[in-house]
Amino acid sequence: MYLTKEQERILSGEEGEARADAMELLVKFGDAVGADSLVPVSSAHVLAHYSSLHESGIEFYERLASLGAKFSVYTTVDPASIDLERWEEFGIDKEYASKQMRLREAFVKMGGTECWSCAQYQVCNFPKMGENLSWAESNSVVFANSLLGCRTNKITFGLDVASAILGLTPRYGMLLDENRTASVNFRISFEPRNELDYRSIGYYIGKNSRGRVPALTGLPSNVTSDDLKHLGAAAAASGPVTMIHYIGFTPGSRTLEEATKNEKVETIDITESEVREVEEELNQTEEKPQLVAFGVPHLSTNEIALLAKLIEGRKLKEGIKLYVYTSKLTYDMVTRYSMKQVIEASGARLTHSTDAEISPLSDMGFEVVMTNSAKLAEIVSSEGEIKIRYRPLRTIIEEVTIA
Amino acid sequence: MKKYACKVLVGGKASGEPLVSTKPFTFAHGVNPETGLVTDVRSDIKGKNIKGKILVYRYGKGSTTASAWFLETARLGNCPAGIIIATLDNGTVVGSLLSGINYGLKIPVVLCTENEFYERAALASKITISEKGEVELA
Repeated sequence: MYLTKEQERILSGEEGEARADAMELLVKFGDAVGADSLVPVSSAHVLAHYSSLHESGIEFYERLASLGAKFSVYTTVDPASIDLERWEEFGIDKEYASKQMRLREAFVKMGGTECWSCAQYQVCNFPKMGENLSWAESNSVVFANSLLGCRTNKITFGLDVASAILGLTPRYGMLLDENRTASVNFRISFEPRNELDYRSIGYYIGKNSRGRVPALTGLPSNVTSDDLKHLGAAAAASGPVTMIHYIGFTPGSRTLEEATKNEKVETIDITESEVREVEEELNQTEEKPQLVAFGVPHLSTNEIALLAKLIEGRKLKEGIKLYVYTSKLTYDMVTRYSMKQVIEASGARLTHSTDAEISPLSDMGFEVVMTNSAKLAEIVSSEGEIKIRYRPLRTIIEEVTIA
Repeated sequence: MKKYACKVLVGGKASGEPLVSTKPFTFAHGVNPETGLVTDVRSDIKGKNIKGKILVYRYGKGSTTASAWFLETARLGNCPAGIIIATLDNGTVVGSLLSGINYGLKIPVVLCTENEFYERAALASKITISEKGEVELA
């Protein structure tokens, strides 16, 4: 890989041990994946949740922070493993919380912006079209590549922090034109009935794209950015998807021919029966849930407003908890406009800066979780400890609350 | 003894008993760092221990946190001696690089694209990986 004089100097340790280590990681990884050079990124999004990072992740962060490492580009962060303010109310023990807080301190010390969200592109990280990014959160990677017209690979833990420190990323994969051309076409051949259908479509794309870059045709013009957020999240959870050409919406892909660069590609029809199959696969039980989880990825203000409307005047049934996951900024906004109060009057709870799939759900005593998130369903079921009920929002509200 | 020339992704030498998975593999929620046991319910080597083995699999899968799970497994001394894969797996490559930078461990990762290798690896009693990426089956 070609390195500039300045990059060589950093690698040799002239700017300190932390920057040298970060450079060593980028260079060795870049060589492994066949990158030709390192290019600047305009922002980074990193991981700092204890449930995945463990003790060694804390050591990794604290070592860099104590060596004086600073992020050189705007850096946001994926959700923490606990609600950073009200963790005690959610039954998290002190020792677990203190581990997450150590990660938080190191992240802040390095200059990170405390916007703990997996939908950072809806609240606090707004790149412009054409920028290179270093984002480590699979749903946001799909959103950036598919809807923002930006370029990012799915950045792995460790590489994310190194990139944020240096403001650089190896040039390979989704940064290159030739890897962004659509090579399979999924065609929606039915009328989606609700938000769940979009998520199931995403899940189906992830399972069946087999490493190809998918295009998606047949999306109705009233599909929302929230629908596409969850569709992309489901695709990235069920398969190696980092971009979907949403024909008519993705910059540069007004038509299928534009997305495929006029190459002939396989078309895979998604009808009602494929979507029902996904539902059957993800819905593992008909048992009563102990937890209903909304917000994987984080809900937007719009989605919370809809939930408030549906749940107003209703009460959550005995023995069921309902958690709504979002960012701190959205939480503050919906509190200010009383949507939080409406939702919590039902017995449900809003929680911020954390998310269900990275919370210690089984330690919190949950065995059956009901959700409309295909991403949550996929991640949680692979461990085999928690069973999922996968249903649309309106059905869930009707079932778990009474008027 | 059959030798294969593989591409070095992370350098180092290792030898050990093979542990071969034909299903997509991940450290994230897939390996218990405290024991080295494979826990992924969808894996064909669930219940097997990766510690000290030459781990062989074709495809990675899953979350961008795989490198963190790898690093924790390495910190606790339960990582494989070396890893052979058929397609790039960023979690494993970065996990091994981090283990080198943070704990001074050398866990070689090589890319082997010959189909025949994966058939033979399952029958071998020992696999050796050289610094240059030469893989030998015995």
